[in-house]
Formats: sequence, C-alpha cells, structure tokens
Amino acid sequence: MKILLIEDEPGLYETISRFLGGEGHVCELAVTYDEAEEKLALYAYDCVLIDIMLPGGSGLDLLRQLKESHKSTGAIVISAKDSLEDKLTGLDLGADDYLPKPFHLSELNARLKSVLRRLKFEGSDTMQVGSLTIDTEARTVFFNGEEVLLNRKEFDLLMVFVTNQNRVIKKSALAEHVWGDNSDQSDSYDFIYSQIKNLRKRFTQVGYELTIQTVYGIGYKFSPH
Amino acid sequence: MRLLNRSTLISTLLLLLALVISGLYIYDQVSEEVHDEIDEELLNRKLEILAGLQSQTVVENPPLYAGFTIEPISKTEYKHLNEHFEDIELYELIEKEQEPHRQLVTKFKHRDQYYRLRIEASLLDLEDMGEVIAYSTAWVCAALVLLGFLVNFLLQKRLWRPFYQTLDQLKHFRVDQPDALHLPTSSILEFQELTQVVSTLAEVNRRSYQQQKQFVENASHEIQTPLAIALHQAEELIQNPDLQEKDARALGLLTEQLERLSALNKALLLMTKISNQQYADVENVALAPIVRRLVGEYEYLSEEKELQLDLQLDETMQLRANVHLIEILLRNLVRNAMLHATQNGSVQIHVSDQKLSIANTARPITGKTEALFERFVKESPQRQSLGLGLAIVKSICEAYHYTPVIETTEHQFQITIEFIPDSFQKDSGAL
Repeated sequence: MKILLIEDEPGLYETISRFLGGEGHVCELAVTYDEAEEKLALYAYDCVLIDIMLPGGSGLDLLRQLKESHKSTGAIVISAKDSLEDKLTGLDLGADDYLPKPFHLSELNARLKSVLRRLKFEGSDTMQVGSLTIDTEARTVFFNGEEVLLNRKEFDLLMVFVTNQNRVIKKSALAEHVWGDNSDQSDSYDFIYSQIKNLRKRFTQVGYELTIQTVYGIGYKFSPH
Repeated sequence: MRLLNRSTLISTLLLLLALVISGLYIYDQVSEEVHDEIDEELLNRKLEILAGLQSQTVVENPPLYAGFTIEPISKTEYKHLNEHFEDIELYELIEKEQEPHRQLVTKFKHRDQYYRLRIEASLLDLEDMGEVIAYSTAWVCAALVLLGFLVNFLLQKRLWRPFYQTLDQLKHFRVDQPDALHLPTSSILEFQELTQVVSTLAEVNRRSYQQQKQFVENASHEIQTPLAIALHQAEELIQNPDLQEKDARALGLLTEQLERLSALNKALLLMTKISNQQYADVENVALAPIVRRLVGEYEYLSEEKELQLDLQLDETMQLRANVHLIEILLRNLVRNAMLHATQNGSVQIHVSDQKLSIANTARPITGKTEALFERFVKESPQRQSLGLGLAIVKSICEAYHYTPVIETTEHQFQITIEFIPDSFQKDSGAL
C-alpha cells in the first residue's frame, strides 16, 4: 500500500516510515504543509497520516483538501494536541481515525490496517491468517470450517495480534487497544495475561494452537502457522 | 444596601440636621430681635410715664391695670437699685395660664420721694413666632425630603443607568466566550472612564486566557512529541530478535516509565483545562446510561474479581454539565471502585435524585480520607497508579460546585457526590 506520512518531527517520521516500510508499505514523507499539498495534488495514496501542527499550516486544512479531491483515500489524523475539538473537527472533515500522540506503533498499525481494509473491501472482508479465516466485518473466526466462539474483547485482542503478526506487542499497547485509553491502569496487565490465556483456550477447544508467546514479560508476539 | 438608597438616606439625614440647626438659629435671631424691640418699647413707656408724672403732685399707682406699678422705696434701696430688664411669668386671665413677660425695673425720684417703677410687656409674640418657625421648618423638611426622594429615584436612577448596565454586562461576562461586552455610552466622564477600563480589562483577560489555553496545548504538544519519539524507538528496539533478556527488561522498564510520564502529562493537562474552565459547553447529561456503559467496559475487572454488582440508577436523573467531564468523573469513580474492590467483594452504584454514591468493599484505609482528593496521594499499592484519579474527580466537582464526600468503614469505601440543583448553577453563573 502507498502511504503518505505528513509529519515534521524527524524523530517521529524516521521511526514511523521505517516501521511502515518494514510492514511492506511504500511510505512517502512530507515535512511541511506546502510539500504535503504538492504531493497530495500530484500523486494518489491509499492512506495519508496527517499531523495537525505543521510548519506552514494546519493538517486539518490538508485533510479538507484531500477529502474534497480524493474521497477514497484513507486519512488518519495523528496529533499531539490531545484536544477534543481537534478530534471532532478531524472526524467531521472525514478523517477515518484519530490517534493522539504518543501512540504505540502496533496501535498505528492496527488502525491503519483497519482503515485500509474498510476502504478496499467495502464491508465484506475475510482474511486468511495461517489456517484461520477471519471475517472482520461479521467479527467471526473459523478454523477448518468450524467457528471459534469469541466474545467482543477476545475478538478485539485477536485482531491486534493479527494486524501485528511477528511483532512484539507491549502489554500497555494491548491494554490500551482493547480497553481504550486507560493509561492509569497497570493492573490491567494481569488481566491481559488472563485474557490471552482465555483466548488460547477458545482455540484449543477447536483443536488449533494459537502461537502467542510472551517476550521477557514485556509483551507478546503472535506468529501464525 | 443599594447605592441609591444609601445616598438618599444620608442626604435626608443631613438635610434634617441642617434644617433643625437652621430653625434654631432663626429662632435665636428672631427672639433677640423681638427682645430688643420690646426693651426699646419698655424704655419708651418709661419716658412717657415719667413725663406724665411731672405734672402730678402725688405719685400713686393707677387705679386700673396699666401695665406698670410704682412703689415707694427707701433711699438705700434707691441707691442699690440698678435699672434692668427681667423675664417673668404672669398669670393671663384670657389664656388662664402663666405667660412669659418682659419687665423693666427702674427707679425715679419725685419731689424728694424715691420710687421703683416696674413696666411689663407680653412676650407672647415671641412664643408664637417660635411656633411658626418650628412648623414652617417642619414643612420645609418634609418638602425637601420628598424632593430628595424624587431626585434620587428619577434623576439619579437615570444618571446611574450606565453604571448598572455595565454591572449587568460584567455579571454575564465569560472569559471563554467570544461575545463582546455591550457597554453603554455616557456623557459622564466617570462612566466613560469606567467603560474604557472595563473593556480594556475584559480584553486583557480574554487575551491572557487565550494565551494560557494556547500554552497548555503547546505544552502538551511539546512534551508528547519527544515522549512519542522515545516510545517508538523503544518499541523498535524490542522487535530485535537477538534481544537479550536483560536488555528486554531494561526496555520494558523504560517504556513503562515513559508511558507513565505521558499519562501524568495528560492527567495534569486535563486538570489544568478543567480549572481553566475550558470545558464550557454544557448540556443535559443523563447519568444512568453512562454508568451502565462504563460498568460494561470494566466488566473484565468485575469478572476477574467475581464482584457482586448492585446498580440502582434513577433514569430521570440529569445534570446540566459538560458531557465529557461527567464521563471522566464517572469513569474515574467506576474504575476506582472496580479496581480497589476486594476479591469476591461487591460494588454498589446508586444514582438517585441529585446524588451519586459509589461504594466498594475495601481494605481498611490508613491516613486521612480527605487527603485522597489531593494530587499524588495514593492508597493503592499499584505501582503504576498515578494518584491523580480522585484529584481529577475533585477538580471536576469544584468546577461544578458539587460536594464529594468520602466515607470509610473497616471493610467499605464509599464516595458520595451531592449535585446541586440546576437553579443554583444558573444563579451563580459558574460554568
């Protein structure tokens, strides 16, 4: 997928573009308002990541322009201004998602994939993960034609792993993704552990081994087979 | 007391005092004048009487009352008697009472005989005069007081109108709202100055509020960006397949602390925004649905601890407030209750008329319960807990004049929040 990252902070765009490149995307970069405007006018992208505060202008104006000319391009607003107005304006202008800084790369990955999926498959999306078949719209999982029964939280948890295969996902990122933005909640880490145990159990019931391994107590890694 | 009433009262009292003093002064002046006149007349009568006596051989009192008496006196008495005036009381037949009189006591020598002469004149005129003066002073008083009232209530009211209009505008002034002040124009210099000062002050306030708001947002931006960079770098390092356990743990700790810093920053910014009244949009917020949703969100906590939930929610209970703040308030309370509830314990949430109470089974609390509302005071042994949850609850309560109360017993922890009636909020004009 072709992605445009509009971000002026070198420390951030270096990591994010390296990360997106590692995920198999083509990531282009714009570090000023003008540069972004030019690239958006010249090229087509699958998704655009827009920082709000840019040298030369506001990312929200870029978003407005983008949504006027390329409706089908996905847009995720990334902002350090964790202010409600920006979030609401961003979503009003047609942003597909809003991600306040600092965010986990795995979270960005999950949201990006979800946006891309929505745009490309327009609703009916089944994906193959190892020998699992997942319908992200109907929120169902099948193994050898048999449905794996998951509750809402378990499915959310599975999706974070599925969108971040072979990556170590920090416990905090999992907690935040599944239970929302509850940063003041270290004890949820214990619940992550028991949730993952439950998730594994659901799959063993249908005879599938969910290969989620812990990485030195700091996170979990899913490598499907 | 209103300015108008006070100024009326003071000017009326001063007026009364001035009138009484001037009345007394006029009386004093008039009485002096009258005395002089009467004394002069008495002296005149004396000359007339003496002139009348010249032709007579025998001096004796007139047979009828003539307003004077003549008595013979000894030579020594004659020597010691000095001509003088006296104020005396005489019985008046007509009035049937003692009336004030002026009397001239003098002496004369007639054909080697010594005599004392007393001539009286009534002072009734003067008494009448005093009465007239007192009455007219009282009437003038009454008329002036009436005039004073009229002046105050008609003229002053009109004169002070710009002042009261300005006051009214200021009462409804909100630093976070862009509506300009509509200050009255006036031809009076003081009010012109007032208008100018008030509008300058309002503008300065509004600007500094904007700057502060800007600063809060910029601070958030400036701190979150380096945090984001550091977190991303750590996250990338964790991906290294050759990572040693020792390094992984160090990275884990590093990440944890960075996340904690970020959470702290967010919580402090939130509190700053609340106390800066940056959540000004208010609407009617029903508590019951929010509580129910939050309890659902934290179901994993209650399931894990096998908590018994007791929800008694008054569906009609609504608050006039900012919906986001109320959600933050309820989220903190619900989460706290679920987090700190003991294993197999219970959580009770009651929403009734103008009151919310959340109780959970708990370990006994050490230290003062009120201190839990302060920043960074924590009772929980949770390492990552910021100790800001209840401080946030408190700042939201303060913003809306709610009263949060913590009650603890050996095995229970309970927070009750009394919401005040909406009418009070409207009156106080806060938020």
